[in-house]
Amino acid sequence: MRYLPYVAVGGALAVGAFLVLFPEWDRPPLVAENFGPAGQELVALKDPRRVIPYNVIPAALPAAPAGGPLAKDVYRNVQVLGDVPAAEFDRLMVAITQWVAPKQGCGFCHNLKPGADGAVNYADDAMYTDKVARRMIQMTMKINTDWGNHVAPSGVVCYTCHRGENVPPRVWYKQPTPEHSGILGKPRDWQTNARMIRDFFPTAGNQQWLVDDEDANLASNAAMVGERGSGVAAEQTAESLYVMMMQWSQALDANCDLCHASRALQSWHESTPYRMDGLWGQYMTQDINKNFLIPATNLFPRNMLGQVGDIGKVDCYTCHLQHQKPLGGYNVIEHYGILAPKGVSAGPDQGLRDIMRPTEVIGPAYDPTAKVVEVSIPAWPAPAPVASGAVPTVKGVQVGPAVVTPTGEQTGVTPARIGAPVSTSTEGTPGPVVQPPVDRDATPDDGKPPMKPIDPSTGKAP
Amino acid sequence: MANFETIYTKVQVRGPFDPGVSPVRPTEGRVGSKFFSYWLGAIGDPQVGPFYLGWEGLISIVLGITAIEVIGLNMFAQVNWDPIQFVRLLPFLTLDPPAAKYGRSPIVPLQDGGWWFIAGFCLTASILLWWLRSFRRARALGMGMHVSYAFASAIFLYLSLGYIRPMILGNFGEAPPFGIITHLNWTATISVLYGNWYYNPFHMLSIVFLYGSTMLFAMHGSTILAVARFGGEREAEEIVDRGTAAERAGLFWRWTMGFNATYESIHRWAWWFAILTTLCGGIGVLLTGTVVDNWYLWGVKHGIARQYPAAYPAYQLPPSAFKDGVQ
Repeated sequence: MRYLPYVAVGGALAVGAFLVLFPEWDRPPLVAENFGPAGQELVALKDPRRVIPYNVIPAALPAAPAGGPLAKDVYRNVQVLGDVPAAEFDRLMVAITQWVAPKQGCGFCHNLKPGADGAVNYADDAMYTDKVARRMIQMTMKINTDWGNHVAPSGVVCYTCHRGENVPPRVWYKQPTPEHSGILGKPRDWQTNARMIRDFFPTAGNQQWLVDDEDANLASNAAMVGERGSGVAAEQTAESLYVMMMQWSQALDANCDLCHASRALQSWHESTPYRMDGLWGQYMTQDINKNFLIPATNLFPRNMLGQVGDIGKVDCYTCHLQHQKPLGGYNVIEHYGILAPKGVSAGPDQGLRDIMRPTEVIGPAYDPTAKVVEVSIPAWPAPAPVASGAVPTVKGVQVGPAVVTPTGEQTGVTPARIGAPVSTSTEGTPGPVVQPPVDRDATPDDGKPPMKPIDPSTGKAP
Repeated sequence: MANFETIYTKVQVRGPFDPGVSPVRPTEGRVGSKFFSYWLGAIGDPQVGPFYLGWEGLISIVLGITAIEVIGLNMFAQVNWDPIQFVRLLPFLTLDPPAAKYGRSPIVPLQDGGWWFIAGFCLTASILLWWLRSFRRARALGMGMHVSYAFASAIFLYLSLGYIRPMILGNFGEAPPFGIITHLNWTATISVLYGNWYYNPFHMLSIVFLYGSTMLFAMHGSTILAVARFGGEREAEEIVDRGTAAERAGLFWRWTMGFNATYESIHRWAWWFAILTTLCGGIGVLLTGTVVDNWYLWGVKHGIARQYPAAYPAYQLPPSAFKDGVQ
């Protein structure tokens, strides 16, 4: 009894030490930049010490030589990129391998097992990954073409989301209804997947506003009840929106002030142009989820889907990964123009983008004399000078070597050993284990016999 | 016997047990063990007990424990009865009120808010019975009702949030959930949903009285301790017979801020500040969504907030981005 206060004080100190040491705190001072007009106190806060994950920019492959035959004339079953030069096409294939399957190589999408004639049939669609990749290329081109108001000028390529992993490091799934929900209370979605304090904001609102286009105007534009229009939405709806907004904030490593005047969140009149950018991003995300990802659900084997059988869907975090601009604004599309056949243009919104002031430090523009990164490239038709593969220095973003440096034979990439199980998981980022992605039931969708391999140096079958 | 101690007291009395004054009204017997505590003696009276529970206290404790059990077991079920997960996720676990579609009816499926009603009913009944206990004990001792009234003010805020406002608005989806993070989320959401509660004048007043309470408490406590060497801690005696302690304390505040409260009025100051904290808060809650939809615009309308001119050029918005024709 007499020692109880000492025990209590010791316990309180232990709890205090835990709270100081274990959660990820941001040590002050934060860098605060007042970027709005005077008096509005619009301040962007950044912790310069925070280590942002997935901040490696891939080295661009050397440019392919101009001209040459078209892909549709060289290969068969080229459904999307038939009208680009075959050299460009090959370069993109190598790049995709680096971006999405650096460990598995070509064999991640193509069945590398030689056919009866001893040749590998690259036109074969048997593996589900091949069909998914085609959809994703279409999606990437759609984003670059139609959503320039959100992605211009840097555009997007596969790496913008994938970051060298088979499944983008950040996607979201629907959460299952727990089994014990008889008469007992159900947890909210996010309680089953929250892992730490920064992670507690759920994905509950994503279905409402990143798949379905529900009205997100929840607050009232009138002071008094009944003064105008539909009033205020239900509190529980607003809470889902609130937590989704917190996720957006987390995804961009930005505080509310980037887009909103915090005194009047609903008012466009007092918002910054970034809010408009965010709105286009929301509509773009709906387009991706609704028109590309969810319709592709049946292409995937069950073990690649979420707990309730839904495909992994995207939110802001998928591309942004805690950058206000993905990859610090590094212009990826200028190196891979074939993914943006009509260019990436903000269109009428260019004026809006011109008045946005960058609130994060991004480095100098592309500098061709910067450090050269060694990349081996496909040897067809002829290797271009490696010097064109230089990458710019972007402050706050680590410019690393290429995601993978392919070695080996003329194709320039290392195919995975056939039949060997491959894993997408890298250290520290547990992910689903991918079995060799072969869809046994599928057949080539054009019904034609497998094509013979083509000698890259001549463009003809040997 | 001497039963008044201060924190300066080095000597703790262990005399015969002090039964206290005789109640002015007949009352039930007191229960519990009677003992002396060294550590309680360091911060107050070392004598513990005798304790009065009474029928209302007993029922209150039973209902209170029931409410906590209902909340806790629901949370425990949400982590599939995994004790480690229960501890780890405790801040995130929640017992939510029913969805808006159920309206005012308390008859809702248990897993969709029925448990919230049961827990809320038990908790409310427990609190009200504990209030009744404070009221009846004060009457039994012939005291004023000040403690009961102060407690009632806090209960008014509690009921405004969880019962009165949801009843006015027509559904219990508006009520706060039972959960650590989730009730904070509720608080943040209700603020931004109604145009930022910092522009709610009753919220402003509530904050004034809350912070004012702490400031008054600090001023009063430090003043009394500072004049304790002159006998100033005998406040009741200084009220009727103002001695040097009261003179010095009063002069100190007249010197430093030109005005001093008296030994009697300082307690009225503190009591009203405390009462008004929750009373104003409750009024602010009850006006939100029933009278005022957007507190910031209310503030603009009545000249307490400024509407800033547009800082950026107007840009084209899709119709889906705004409602009621207002940008």
